[in-house]
Amino acid sequence: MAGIGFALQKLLESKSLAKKFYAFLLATFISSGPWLFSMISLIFINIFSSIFIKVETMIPFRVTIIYVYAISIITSGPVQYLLTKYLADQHYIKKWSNFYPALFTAFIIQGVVSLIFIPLWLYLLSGADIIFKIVTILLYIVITYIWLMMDFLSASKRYLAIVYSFLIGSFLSVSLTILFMVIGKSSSIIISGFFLGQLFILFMLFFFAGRQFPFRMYINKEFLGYFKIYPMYLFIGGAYNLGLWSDKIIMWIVKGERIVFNYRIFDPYDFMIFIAYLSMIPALAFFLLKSETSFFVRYHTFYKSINKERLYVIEENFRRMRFDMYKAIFILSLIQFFSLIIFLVIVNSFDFFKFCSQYSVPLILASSFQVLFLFVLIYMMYFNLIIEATISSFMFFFLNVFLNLFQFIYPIITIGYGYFIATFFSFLFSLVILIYKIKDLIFNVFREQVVE
Amino acid sequence: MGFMARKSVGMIIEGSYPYIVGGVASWCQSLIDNLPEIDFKIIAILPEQYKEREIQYKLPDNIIEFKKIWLGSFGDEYTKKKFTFNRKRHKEVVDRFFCCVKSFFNFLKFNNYRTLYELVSFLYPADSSLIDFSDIFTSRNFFNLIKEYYELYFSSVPFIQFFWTIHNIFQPLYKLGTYSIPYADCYHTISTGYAGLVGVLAKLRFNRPLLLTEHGIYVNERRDEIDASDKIRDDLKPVWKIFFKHLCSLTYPFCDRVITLYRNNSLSEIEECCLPGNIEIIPNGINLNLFGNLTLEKRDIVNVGIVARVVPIKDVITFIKASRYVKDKNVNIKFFIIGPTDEDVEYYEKCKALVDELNLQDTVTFTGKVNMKDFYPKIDIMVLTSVREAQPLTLMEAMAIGIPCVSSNVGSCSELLEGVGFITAVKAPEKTAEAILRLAENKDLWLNLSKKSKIRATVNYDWNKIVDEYRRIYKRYSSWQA
Repeated sequence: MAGIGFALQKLLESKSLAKKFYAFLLATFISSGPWLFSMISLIFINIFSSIFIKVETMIPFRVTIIYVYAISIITSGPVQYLLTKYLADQHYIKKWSNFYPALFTAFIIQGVVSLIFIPLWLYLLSGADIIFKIVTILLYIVITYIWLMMDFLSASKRYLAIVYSFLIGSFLSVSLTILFMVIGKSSSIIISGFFLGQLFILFMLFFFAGRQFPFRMYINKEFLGYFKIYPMYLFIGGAYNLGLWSDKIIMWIVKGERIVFNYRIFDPYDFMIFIAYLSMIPALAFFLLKSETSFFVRYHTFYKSINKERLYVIEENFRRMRFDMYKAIFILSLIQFFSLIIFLVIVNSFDFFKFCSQYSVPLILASSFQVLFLFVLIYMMYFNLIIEATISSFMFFFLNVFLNLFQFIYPIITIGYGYFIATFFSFLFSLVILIYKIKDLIFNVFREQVVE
Repeated sequence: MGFMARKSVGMIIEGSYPYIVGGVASWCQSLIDNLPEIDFKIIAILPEQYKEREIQYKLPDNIIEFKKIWLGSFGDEYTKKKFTFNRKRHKEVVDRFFCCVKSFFNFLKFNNYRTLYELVSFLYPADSSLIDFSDIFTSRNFFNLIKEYYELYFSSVPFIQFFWTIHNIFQPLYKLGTYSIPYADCYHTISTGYAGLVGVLAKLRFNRPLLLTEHGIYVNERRDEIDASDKIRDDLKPVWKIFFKHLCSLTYPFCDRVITLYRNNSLSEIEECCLPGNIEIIPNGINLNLFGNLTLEKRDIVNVGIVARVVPIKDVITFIKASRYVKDKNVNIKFFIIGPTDEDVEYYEKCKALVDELNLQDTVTFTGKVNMKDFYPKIDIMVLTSVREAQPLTLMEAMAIGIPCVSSNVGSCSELLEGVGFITAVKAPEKTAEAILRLAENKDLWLNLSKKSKIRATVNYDWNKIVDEYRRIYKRYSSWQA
């Protein structure tokens, strides 16, 4: 265990309920903090904007942010997953000197990838002024780098660094955006303020990274080699993130309207998705708690025992680790179930949600299975079931696309249920595969040693 | 007059020629060089680390083929998936291999010789080319077999060590089976072990005779290495020893002729189930033209020499201690340590420190590497204090010149010097000193032993005669018709 794991473990072991709750709160901050702070900043910006400027002026900004997050996560997913794999391996063998060069290399590769998508941005921003276009593209690049920096700091267990960066950076983002709003009153000026705030977050993340690792900027050939040795991680990252957004993109194209420039959105669906994703927070927090504490311990005990213990000890360690994982999946499912109920009740009780509540059931159900599917994928990657994770990710992507398109050709299922069925089957399929494959884990670990 | 096709001999050598300069490699080079009428196809079995080495010899022109078999890890060419349409045969071959593995585990406990015969019958038709590395070594079946026997007999050992022990035993065997062996009219393996196994496979594949020459006894050398190793767990050492014992024993029954250097070796071979009638003793030899015509220089001081690399196996320390005992009794004797000092610098420093400690700076001289032709005539008494030898050429060379010898009782030294020199126990400086003094102070004894040594060397260790013996053997077996 490193870093936050020790702190969390200590809090969890305490008899005090308050301390246990604090551990859970801390895990919530760490697992969902960046996303939450970003969402809260946007909410604040939206609230304040109503005081200073017209609603129409905010639309380009608001929709751009959605598109920036969507496209950045889809296009940086492959490099993110591979970088995380590489850094995890380096962490295991304690080769810290490889961290920064890998990040530098990832930045260069991601920069090239981002450039490829500039034509897409130019199409989407057709009609926008030149400053808006430039700032949006820069914002997109900065956000992709922020994702990579988060992976970097997560791999080195510097979770609180991420939280602090987003806390301070989001505050600055809000402040600058409102300030520019007051000064400029145009969308280009407003988005520039927000961009500067995000740039500050990036610098803060760099600052924290630089405190831990020697600043070395050269191409890490070993990391480059991972593109050839572990291409599956690229596919998992691409397929999963594309799958995650494909239902939204289809809604935008088919059900949505062209709101500004060439952007299309479908507000009721988008808003409900946002609410549904909030329901994942407790499960995300619990998963972080588990993976950083008891599962982490059992996992490392098992893998260490491979190299020096008698077989019955290895098997015992394996059984304990597997039990811990099943227990975690079960508890996560329970937590998500309760969260699902609570959110369904809230959304269907208040008028505020009336415009989108018809999508609440399928989308909240979908997000529940989405987060469970994500956890199973992560476990698969822990145990090197890469081919299985790739197949599951692609299955999710194809199901989500197919079902969401299908519902418009043959409306047997209504909006939202395509996404729900895709996540449900993907979770079930990947769970069955995980349970089946993990039986052979000890054999596979030794088999991989022979192949290497 | 008809055209006589040249005969070919497939010479199979393990871990030596032509990458190492040493006794066996030099012997191979010299034999091949002196038989220009025979074509040789070298099959060299080499460890992976030799890939970085340079060839140390100028290969004679009658080496017409040079095949390298690398023992060690499998490269990509072995782990690539192969597909064969003959699935039934494929399954049969895989099943047979697993039978061999099961039998191997049985013989670990029950000493059943049949196992490696089964392995040979699996390997020799090159059936292993039908199956993948992954059909066996990364298969569930192989893992389960290892697990089963681990739980029965080795459950106190870390599993990974037992796992890799079994892999390191079977992977080279499988790999050997996948190599194509060049055709030769007869095969001559220079040791048992893996080279012997290749010889057996060659014999079975092509139905040609197999000869074996043993310099040292392979299984004894492996056993000593295993005992001395701190990389192998004590409870896994028996697995390796039993494996090598059976691997070596496998060669003898397939050999048409087993040649060894000296009688003690032949006794060890008989112990390892070699038929006594198959064994022929052909010792090492020396170039009498080079050494037999040298004359000893006359002088007042007696020079005692040891011709050896300054390394622990030559036990130069005992020689230095002996020189102190001699010096105490007779000051007119000088001692020369003739050989390179750079192979084991730490040991060399230890020897030098002992010389200083025993106050022998004026008595003992390290000469370094010299031209022996120039140095031999200066030596009156040759000493060898090694802790291990086979059939040392330095003693033969000294005998050829007429230098009486004193040697520790290792290898064939007692056979070499019986009646013509002195034999002492290993690590016995006082006894060595006594023998040196007897020779130094008794001129008649020295002359008598000098004459006898020269006769023995001339009669028994003439390299030309040795080459003629091999010429006879190669002619007989390469012309053999089925």
